[in-house]
Amino acid sequence: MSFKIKFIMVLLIVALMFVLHNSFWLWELDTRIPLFFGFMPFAFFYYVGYALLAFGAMRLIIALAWPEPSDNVLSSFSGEEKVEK
Amino acid sequence: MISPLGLGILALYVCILIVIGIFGARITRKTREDYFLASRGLGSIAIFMTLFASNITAFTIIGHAGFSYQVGYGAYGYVIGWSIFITPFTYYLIGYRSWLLGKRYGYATQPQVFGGIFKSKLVAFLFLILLLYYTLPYLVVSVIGGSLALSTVTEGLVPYSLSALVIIGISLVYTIPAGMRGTVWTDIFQGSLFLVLALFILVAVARALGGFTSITEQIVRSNPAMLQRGLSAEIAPINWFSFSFTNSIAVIVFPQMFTRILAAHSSRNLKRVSLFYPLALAFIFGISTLLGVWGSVAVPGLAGKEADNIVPLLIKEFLTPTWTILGLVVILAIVKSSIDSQLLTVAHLVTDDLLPRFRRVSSQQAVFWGRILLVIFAAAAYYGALIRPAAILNIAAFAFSGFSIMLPVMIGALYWKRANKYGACAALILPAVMLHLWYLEVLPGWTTFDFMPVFPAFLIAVLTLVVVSLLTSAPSVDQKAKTFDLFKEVFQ
Repeated sequence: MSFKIKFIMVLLIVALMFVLHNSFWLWELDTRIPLFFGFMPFAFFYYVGYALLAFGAMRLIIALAWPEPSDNVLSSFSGEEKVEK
Repeated sequence: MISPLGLGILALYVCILIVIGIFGARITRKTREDYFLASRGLGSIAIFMTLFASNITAFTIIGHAGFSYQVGYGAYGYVIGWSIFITPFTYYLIGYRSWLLGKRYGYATQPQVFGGIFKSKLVAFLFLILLLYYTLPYLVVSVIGGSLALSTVTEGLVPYSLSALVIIGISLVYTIPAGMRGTVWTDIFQGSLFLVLALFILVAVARALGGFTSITEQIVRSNPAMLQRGLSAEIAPINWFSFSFTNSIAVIVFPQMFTRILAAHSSRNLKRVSLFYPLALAFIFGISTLLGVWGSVAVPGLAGKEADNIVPLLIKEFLTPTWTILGLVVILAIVKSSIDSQLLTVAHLVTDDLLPRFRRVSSQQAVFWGRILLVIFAAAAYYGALIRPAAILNIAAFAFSGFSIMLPVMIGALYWKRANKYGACAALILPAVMLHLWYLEVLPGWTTFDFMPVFPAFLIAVLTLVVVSLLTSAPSVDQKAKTFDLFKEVFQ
């Protein structure tokens, strides 16, 4: 799979996360759904779940489109050598 | 009165910071790379904690809790919801490519990265001016917020002016000698401290209020509106949507965050940061949200800015005095870990990107000038915190939006080969001017179509970059190759 395709998939994940954040149609569940674990209303619990989803989304993005650079890239800038204690 | 135990805890906290500063100074070499970037050698824990601690400000535990007190559980999603995903995503989108360029060409700041990509001193200068323009007022506001919190928690025992002096003074103790390494090491200590203590405070407050379930049942009975996002005008959908373009996407543009990403040792370190960042953000803001909402039934009747004191009030009214000291340590740790990174970064920007325009600055001289500038900016921030000039506070009010609208140029520079310096300059200037016209109410409110000004300003930035770049000559082949051949090497 080319990087372009992988990057498009990454953008789709971003779009999905954006839609899930702006999911105003779910707000009516704030009153319908009971408390989670006795102290978490839906409006709060939704974002606990969203954080776990964000963790999964970042894991997918890293696997899809975050390649490791070669040693050549990393060794090309040597930094400053004039060291003075 | 502060007990001997409380004084001991405070003294221990300050001593640890000083020891870290002394030890960091012994290791730090007098070179530009080492002083300002810790020789680009930060590991996963160091880069994670320094980004996280620099990102979390007094707003998290003071302002956000106050906001939750007023609007309820919806404050959680409104303030931090989108950030939970998009902030770590921007570490990939912008951070990784900038880090690669830094590794290849030795870039250390945004003016260098984006001035380098566009091969334009004007782009570099605009980045420098805008970043300083938004960061300095934000720094002053951070000092004001921290000092108010410190004087409130100590019930005036430490007056406001002394609080500001203490906050800035302790930050300088380790930042001047140890530079980036000093701020990173203290961030690891302070970040861990406020994460653990904040959780302890949440559990202690919950127990004092009768337990997690009991306090929530009280909210459901006495103020059920706190559970329903649809009932709060402040977090109405149009504001909710607009706010997605403010805090969350601004973080990577903060110069203190950007520079820290360039200081990462390896790509793996950045990956780990991006992976675990959502959980850490959700954790600390979740605690702040719960404390704020619980406060609305435990300490009812706070109006306006009074609500910002809800966490100190909860601790004072329901916990023992020792907890008050621990709460104070949390506030100090949160405030100082962001102020020290802001101070070091503005000194770094001026040393690396402004002084060389007037005179040659060697590596060793850069460290000397960096230290002098740290003191100058610290003195300016202290003075600003004392006199609280209206102009500074006005700029700080929309500093986040100002940072956000610089993002399109950063994305364009790293992803679009056709983007050029003319487009970049126009896309930095025009949206900034429009943002000022909206916030200073020169333009009528209806011109934003009821969105927060940041949203139309963001669109203007995107359009300006695209249109002006397409209407002017394309960058040269050599110029494009310098950036995009490197990316081709890594990504394909």
